[in-house]
Amino acid sequence: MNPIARPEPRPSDALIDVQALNKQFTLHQQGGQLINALEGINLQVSPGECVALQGASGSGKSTLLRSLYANYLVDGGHVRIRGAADAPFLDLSQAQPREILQARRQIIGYVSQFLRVIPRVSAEQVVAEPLQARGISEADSLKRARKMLERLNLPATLWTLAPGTFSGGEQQRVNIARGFIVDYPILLLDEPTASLDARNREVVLELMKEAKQRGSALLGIFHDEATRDAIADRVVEIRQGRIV
Amino acid sequence: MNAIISAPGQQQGQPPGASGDTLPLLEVHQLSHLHAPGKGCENVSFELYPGEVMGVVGESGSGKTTLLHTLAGNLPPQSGYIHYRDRQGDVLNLQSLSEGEQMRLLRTDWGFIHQNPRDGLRLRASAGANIGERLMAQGERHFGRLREAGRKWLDAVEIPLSRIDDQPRTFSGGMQQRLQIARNLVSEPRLLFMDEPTGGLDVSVQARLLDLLRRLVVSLDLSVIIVTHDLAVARLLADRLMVMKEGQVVESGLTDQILDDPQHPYTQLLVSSVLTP
Repeated sequence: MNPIARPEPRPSDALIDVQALNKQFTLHQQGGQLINALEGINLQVSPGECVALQGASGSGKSTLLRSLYANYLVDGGHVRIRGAADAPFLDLSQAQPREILQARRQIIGYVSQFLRVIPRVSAEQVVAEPLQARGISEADSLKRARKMLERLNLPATLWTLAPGTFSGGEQQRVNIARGFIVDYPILLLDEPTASLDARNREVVLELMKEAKQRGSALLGIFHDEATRDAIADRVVEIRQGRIV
Repeated sequence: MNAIISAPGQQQGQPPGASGDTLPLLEVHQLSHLHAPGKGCENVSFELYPGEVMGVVGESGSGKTTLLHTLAGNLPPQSGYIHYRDRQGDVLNLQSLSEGEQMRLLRTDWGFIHQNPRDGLRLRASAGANIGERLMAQGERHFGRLREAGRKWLDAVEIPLSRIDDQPRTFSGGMQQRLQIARNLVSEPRLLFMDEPTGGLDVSVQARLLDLLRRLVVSLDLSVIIVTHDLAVARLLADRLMVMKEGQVVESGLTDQILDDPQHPYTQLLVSSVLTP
């Protein structure tokens, strides 16, 4: 292949490769109303790179992140991910549920704004779970979970409690700890610092920088400009479902 | 009749991946059992892999319980087939098994958790005897070992050991349900069928049971087919979902994808009808 012949060469080492992604929502409860959420999205993210998605609310940023986690079904185009630049891609638009779950254990981490709490499951257990899903022992995973919660300044008195009654900021830190406990090659971050104070925002920034240094590909929505400027290598703007 | 369809040597060898087994435990093809047109299950096909938890959701009358009973051998299929890969790696065609062989499978490799624990327990036998029954059916006669199994599984399902000689008719609903689970798990089954396991329980009791089921499924690496009308239960326990309406599967996929981005009008209606406190 002649790289010069390609008008826009895609980086060959990309861990995230989105091509001509379309996403529509058909609202059957509202007379079959059709919403074009994403149109013709092309995006690549390389190891060690952080790309920030920017745009007004409703522009499609979160929809893109969710499509990359296979939480939303892809209607057209391809969403491909891989754990290393020399590994084969997994096309999420064609993958089986078990392949996606496997990818979520090994390759993609997702930090959302809101924690989905499970009744009776303690904060440290919530954080340790992704490690246990990778076959790490309960004792080791809990040890690492506590270390991570400590780093995020969550009081030790809360570790053994179910996070259902925690404040928004405390819940978010549990969520962040869970997202960073595994060294995922790909991290999707939906407003990871939204309801944190300055001290904890700094910790999350450090965690993201460490992930970059390890060679992870980061794609995020950062409402907070200081955080975005400190971590993002590139800003991609989305307007009405299209990259501009 | 030869029930074995293929032995492990004949199957395409795949290198063991990080996910472990790459061959399906259960292969279901065009399975139907209809009581009346649109009543029951019709042309249902899917594969279930080791360690997978599949939820079957839909309103009452959608055919999900009929499907479960047909899969578990309680109802005969009118068409289609069920292939099961046993511990030796042999693929068995369920319909060609003799009644005795099917019985043995149901009591060892498989388990069935009924919605009403009274359907799955012997109410006038002790809790310990309920747990030991499967082992005795497999030829275990040693009292000490039966007792030991009883203790181990009572403990695993959080029932006080002091209740081992009590009859389950004196237990609360939640405790009866946990005993039913212990009674099934004692033979270390690979595949568990559950019919609304948390139905009819108080919310607090339900949460405890769900937490227990979640932990057991992961720690024992069980494959599960769970029928529920409760989407919150499905989200908590199931890796993937099949949505049924009038006997047909209208949508299937990853649990969070089905619940967060439902495609079929009926699934959208189900999801949008849930009350969130």
